[in-house]
Amino acid sequence: MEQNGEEYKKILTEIIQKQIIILGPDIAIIKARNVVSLTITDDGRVTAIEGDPRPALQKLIDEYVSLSGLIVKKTMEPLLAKYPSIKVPNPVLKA
Amino acid sequence: MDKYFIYLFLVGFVILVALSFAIFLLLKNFKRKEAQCQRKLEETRQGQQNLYDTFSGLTAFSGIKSALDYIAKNLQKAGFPRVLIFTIDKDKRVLKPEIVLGFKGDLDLKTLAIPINHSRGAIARSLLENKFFVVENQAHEVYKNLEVKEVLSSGSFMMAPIAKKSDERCWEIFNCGRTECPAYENADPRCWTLPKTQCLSHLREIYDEKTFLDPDSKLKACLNCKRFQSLGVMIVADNDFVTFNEDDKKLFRTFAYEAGSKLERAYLLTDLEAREREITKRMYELSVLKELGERIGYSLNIQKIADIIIGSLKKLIDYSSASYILIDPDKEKLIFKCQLETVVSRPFIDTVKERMLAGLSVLINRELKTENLDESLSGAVLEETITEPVQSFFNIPLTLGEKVVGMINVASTRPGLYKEDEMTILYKITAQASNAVTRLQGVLDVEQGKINAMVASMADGVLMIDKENRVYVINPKVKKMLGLEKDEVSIFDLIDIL
Repeated sequence: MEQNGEEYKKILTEIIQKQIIILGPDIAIIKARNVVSLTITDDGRVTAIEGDPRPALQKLIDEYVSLSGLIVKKTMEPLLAKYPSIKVPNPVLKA
Repeated sequence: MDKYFIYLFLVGFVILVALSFAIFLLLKNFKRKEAQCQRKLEETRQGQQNLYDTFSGLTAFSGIKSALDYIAKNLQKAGFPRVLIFTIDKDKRVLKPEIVLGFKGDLDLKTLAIPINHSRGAIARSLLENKFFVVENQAHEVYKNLEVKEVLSSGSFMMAPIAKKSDERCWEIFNCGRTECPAYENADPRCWTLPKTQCLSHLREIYDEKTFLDPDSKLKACLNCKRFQSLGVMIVADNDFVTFNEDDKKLFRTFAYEAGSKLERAYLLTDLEAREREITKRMYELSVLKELGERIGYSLNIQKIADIIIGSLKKLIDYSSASYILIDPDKEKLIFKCQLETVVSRPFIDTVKERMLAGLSVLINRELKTENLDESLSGAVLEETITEPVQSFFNIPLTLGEKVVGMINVASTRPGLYKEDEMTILYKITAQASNAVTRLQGVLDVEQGKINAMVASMADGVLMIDKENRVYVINPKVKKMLGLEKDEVSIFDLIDIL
């Protein structure tokens, strides 16, 4: 469970870091901080997840999908392949 | 005989003096009691006047914080020197102190956050069970472990929930017919304290069975439910070991009762104001989209569309530069155009380019270099003496269908300039323009396909040549007639044959 928690932190951090490069830090971190159960540093690292990480991951994806579904699709697919044990509760919106 | 009369006179005199003294004492006592009653009446009138002033005055407030502040100050005027009002932070599931008046260590109290769960002390219980508590004895066993007691440092206090007035029960609000639910027609109106209520069956999809059955997990959902009655908790404290009389208790309960309905209205007003702002934002967004739509027209030229978008940004947002990069696959180069609104330096422009190229490279999974960039700048000039770097920026990817075709960038020398709402509107506008172009392209492709199929299947030959002598259309019938087998036929092939 602890290892799973760490994996979730890593994947969440990677998602945010990628969005920082694509969209810029201003919007990427604002959108990430809309997920209240995540504690995020100013450089986009996830340091803590409160409660179940699965809804937090879904909420973070939804935040970026609200900007562009295609961008999320292009960035999420390689990341999810890297962490096969992590399942997104609802499928990523098709662009 | 004389002695007898003197003796009688003295006794009578003493009795008279004693009676006068007794009457004097009685009158004095009576006057004291009358003064006390008068004072009490004045206090009650003052309390009622305070109550009236408090709650009639509250109609002037639309803000929740100012309403609570007003209630707290009137509680102080009504004779309660220390006032503490908590409201609910639903996201963090804590009670946070909104108003702290008259306590030593005000700053410490302001950082206090009391978790809302069933195992905590009286403040959380007051909220969850909708109960009024009076604590007058520090040694009282039930309240010994109250965490707030140490914070308040007071032997006597009263607390009451600030609750909504609605009597509508949960099955009435949600039009629910689940008679097997423990909340259905239960005499206890506090459905959020009842376990295994049927309204939460959808939570089984998110939480495992153990979490779902945990009363505190249920509470997470109940706090956000329309039926949850409590808005906060109000506490008043006096000096140590003061005993609150019945009038004090009644006055305080009345304050708490009235505060509930006024706060409910304040929350509704705040909610309405938020919705009004949302609608105004959307109307503005629509008006910008309409204008963009008219200017874009039926153009499929993505560069023209990018030009229109960055040209329209001035109306929505402040910036130092608005730029785009487009990928030209035919010529294998990148087109960079930058509209400068303020004077910037060359390093500023280079930073903008780097940030856009980095974002595009990640998106298309291919390294992009500045060597292949055709640059054009317009608007304000570049100035080498200006040193302000890029302090705020955001990128908006440009897409057509499933393909990334470029990037828009908005940048400024001012830090923290861009708010979430402004940036989100621009993403929506760009996405809608992209979708419109994609749909139009799709329609044209379908129509083109129909025409191609029709021309290809015609029994007659069709040959079309444009003004530049390029073969525009040639169908299989013509090719068969002329004996041409090549896929791509040029004018020279036709000249050779003819």
